[in-house]
Amino acid sequence: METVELLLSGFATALTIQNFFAAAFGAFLGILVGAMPGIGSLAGVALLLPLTFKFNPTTGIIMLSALYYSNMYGGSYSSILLNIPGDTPAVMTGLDGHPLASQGRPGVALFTSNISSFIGGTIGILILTIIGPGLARFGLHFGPVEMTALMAVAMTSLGWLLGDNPIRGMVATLIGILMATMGFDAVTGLPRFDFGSIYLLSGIPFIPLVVGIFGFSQVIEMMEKRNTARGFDIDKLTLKDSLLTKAETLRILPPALRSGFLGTLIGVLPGAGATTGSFLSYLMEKRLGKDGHKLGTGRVEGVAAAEAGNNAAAAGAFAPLLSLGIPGSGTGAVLLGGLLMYGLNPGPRLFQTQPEFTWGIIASLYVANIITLLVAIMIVPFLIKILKVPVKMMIPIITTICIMGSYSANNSLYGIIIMLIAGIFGFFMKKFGYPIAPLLLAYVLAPTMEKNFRQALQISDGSMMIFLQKPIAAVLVGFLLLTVLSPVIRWVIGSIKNQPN
Amino acid sequence: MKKIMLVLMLVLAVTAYVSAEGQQESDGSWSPSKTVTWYCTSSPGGGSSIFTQTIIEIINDENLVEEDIIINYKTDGGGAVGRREVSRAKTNGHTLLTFNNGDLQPLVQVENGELDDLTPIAVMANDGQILLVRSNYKYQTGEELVEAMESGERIIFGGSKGDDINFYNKIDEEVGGDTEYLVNDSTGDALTQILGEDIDVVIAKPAASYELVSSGELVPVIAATKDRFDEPFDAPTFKELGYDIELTVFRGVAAPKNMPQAAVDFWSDVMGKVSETDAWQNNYLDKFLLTGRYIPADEAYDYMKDFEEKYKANM
Repeated sequence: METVELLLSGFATALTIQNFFAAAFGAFLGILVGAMPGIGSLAGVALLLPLTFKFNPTTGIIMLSALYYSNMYGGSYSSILLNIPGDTPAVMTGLDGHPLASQGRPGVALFTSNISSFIGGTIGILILTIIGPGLARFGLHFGPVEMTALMAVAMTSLGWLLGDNPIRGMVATLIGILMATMGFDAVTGLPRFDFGSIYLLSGIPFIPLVVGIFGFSQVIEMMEKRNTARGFDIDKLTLKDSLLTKAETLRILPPALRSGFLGTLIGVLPGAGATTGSFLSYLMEKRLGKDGHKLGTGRVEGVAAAEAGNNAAAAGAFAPLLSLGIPGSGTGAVLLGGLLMYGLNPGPRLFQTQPEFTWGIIASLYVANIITLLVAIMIVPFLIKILKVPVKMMIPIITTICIMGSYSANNSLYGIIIMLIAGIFGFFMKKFGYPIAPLLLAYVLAPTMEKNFRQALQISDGSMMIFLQKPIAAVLVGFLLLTVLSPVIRWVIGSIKNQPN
Repeated sequence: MKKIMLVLMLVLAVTAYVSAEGQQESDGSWSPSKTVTWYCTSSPGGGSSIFTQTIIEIINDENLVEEDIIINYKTDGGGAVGRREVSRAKTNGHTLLTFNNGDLQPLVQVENGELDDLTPIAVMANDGQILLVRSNYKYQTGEELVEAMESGERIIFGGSKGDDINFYNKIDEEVGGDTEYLVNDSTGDALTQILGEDIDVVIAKPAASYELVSSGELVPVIAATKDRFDEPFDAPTFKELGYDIELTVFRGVAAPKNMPQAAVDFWSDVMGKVSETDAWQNNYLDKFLLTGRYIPADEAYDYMKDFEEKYKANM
């Protein structure tokens, strides 16, 4: 009961006019910055963090949380509208979001994205409020061995995304893995496949790669087809047409709720983060959803699953941050820096030594989440007009955004070069029917898997048995075997059944 | 049309922001004329980032620098990219770098670089490393731990990169036994591993593990420093236990190779002022159990050069 009281008193401090405007302002800025490809939520929060220091701690932290959320919201906008993911988690959002937008329903995609972000975020915060510290302890059980098993499951699941031509999908996946091996070896610290170039010492930077392979490849495509008109009636891009129908609202609820829970759990795991959260949520929807097989063709369920999953994971990352003082993601780490500056020391003693402050923060997370949703919905009518811009003008605009985004990711021209090469590469991939998403996901997941796999073998002194000795890992490996072998088993059962007696 | 203008304006604003050129004053003295970028080559939340954030906070509170200072976390390639970028930056004094042993060592041993690729600005403090174990681990004291190692029991160590690896190698050399070292990107990741019982012993610095040790979750067992730390990190040193292991860690600030002398003087002076504030003593040194040690630019070069020679000799 004390918890509820403390939370309520937290709300009392959080809900003032000044805080409301600070949150709204933070949300607005956060969406703008988050929507810019290349800046993404990590850099967005880091860039805007100093702004919050001008306020008193409560206001500052509310604004900070609003920034954090709205960055997550904004990341999906450019993915939906322009097919340039603003940050990694948005790669999954774009899989259904952009087809929806291209079908003339960008508003629906944006609304779905906003509302499922809100649902995912809310589930995340609720779980955080109730069992945050316990959840953080649970996350600790995912050491190198368990993470390897989890990543193996994730990697195998990529198969479900491979599309019509699995061989091409496999090729894309393998290219992603190959590219991920470039740069410093995570265990020995020695450079790998750097081809003597200092820029390749740390491998291929991710943001320029994404911006190029999705965004710039599109520019080339547009140039090729610049005289063809859009396939839909642009006058119909009104707010009214953007609202979700009742049936659509009912369709997005189950995936958003499911993904909210899954995403929170994943967010708590060390080093998993929002990308894995949205990725696994999307895959879960593909397997469990009623029309799972239609995902990828512009389904609201796909947008809902990805967005709820990534926002829930972002909230879940708060659990280890607050109760152990260990940030679960890069963005969480920047937030930790912000909290430290306000005199808050996240750690095991936080809830005992600074209860009011801590509950104040949790209350401000709720407040910020609601205000961000309001701001995000108000922005939709303006955003969808982007699609009214003629293709001729979109070419220079997207090019500018691509160049800016890839430059600002690491503040270097090298980013632009990578972006251009990736753009040309992506153009030909699309032209020859190779899917891009598996390549990027493999690129993201492979380093985590490699590092954890090698650490696991270091722990076991080279014995593979360790993956069966630890219960969580053993369950995951069992699941993995089941997935891999299920076609074989089905085939065997099928052939026995069909055998004439 | 308005919308397009808005987008274009935004694009322009951001472009202008990232490419702003600074102006240098001509009267000999120097002060920043645009936003200062401070590189930190370790993850946010770790020791280096706390160090950097604290200094910037003090600079802002005391109004020591008029322009904004932003932190650029460049963790790519074990920090190599960030160091290389700072080394080559031509920003006339608007670029700084958080620089510790943990940066100098890979610079010399892995990246074929040298101290002369950078300009030391100041040494600010001395830090130390310590071995921590879980409060439910079977060995709770340093004596027990080294005894177990010497008897050949398999013990898994974990920690961050750079000087933590250095410390582990030293332990492996002096104490020996059947040990393994798991390298992580940050001390935070290593702390997660020890709390999750994946590793037995973690190498950490007091700053990053303060809350976990204060709460009793982790227990200090052996320090790498010359003298013992104060509570809650009070534990015997390796010297006390009879091993020749003693490592000091310096925390300092560096700048691009050809930073103008006037700018070097300016920053060295700012760091000196920071080191004299109460906030530095109370909110940083006392809180994270560091020893204050301000060394201005010219002497800092000699101080760091000694370390460089040691690292070169160990290659």
